[in-house]
Amino acid sequence: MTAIPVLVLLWLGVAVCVASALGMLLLRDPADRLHLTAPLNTLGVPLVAVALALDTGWGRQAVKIVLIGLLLVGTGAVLTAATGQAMRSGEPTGDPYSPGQEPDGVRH
Amino acid sequence: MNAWLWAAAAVMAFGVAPTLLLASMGTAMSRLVGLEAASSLCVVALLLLAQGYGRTSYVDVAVVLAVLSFTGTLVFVRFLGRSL
Repeated sequence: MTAIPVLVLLWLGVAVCVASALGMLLLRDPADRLHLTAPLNTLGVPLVAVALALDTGWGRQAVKIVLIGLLLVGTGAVLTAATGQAMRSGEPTGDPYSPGQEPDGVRH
Repeated sequence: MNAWLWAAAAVMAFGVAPTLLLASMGTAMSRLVGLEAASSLCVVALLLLAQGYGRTSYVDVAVVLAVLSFTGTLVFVRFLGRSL
């Protein structure tokens, strides 16, 4: 039988994950959708990882699960920043020599 | 079915499925955002399935997916951004 605090953490994490995913469906702009990866990676995934680690009990397996959660938190932040920068560089700025804009003004 | 398997089913049905839909339509950047979210949710689903079935060795699959999805998404960002 799973303990109540573990279940609370688990379903809170699942609710954050599902809300982020469904929110992405509702939003139209890719930059707005990118914002929703933040709660997914920094709140939803760690909550589920902590619930799993608590249920597993102290040991190598729990450490591995927590490390996966930390890995997703770190890589999620890096990926969000990189994707946001790539989005920004792809936008037309009016400057013909800016990244993402060809000198002849035609975007490919 | 235990709570872990119910949670995995919820994540796959209401988390992975919508993000896979996003990853298959729209602009390239929009699809990339969907792919990022789908990979994170797949890691969560794999962890929950490993716990639900009591097979701790399945956690290694989630580790590999977490690492490979990071590098894979960075490659997509590199190609789409052209400035990183």
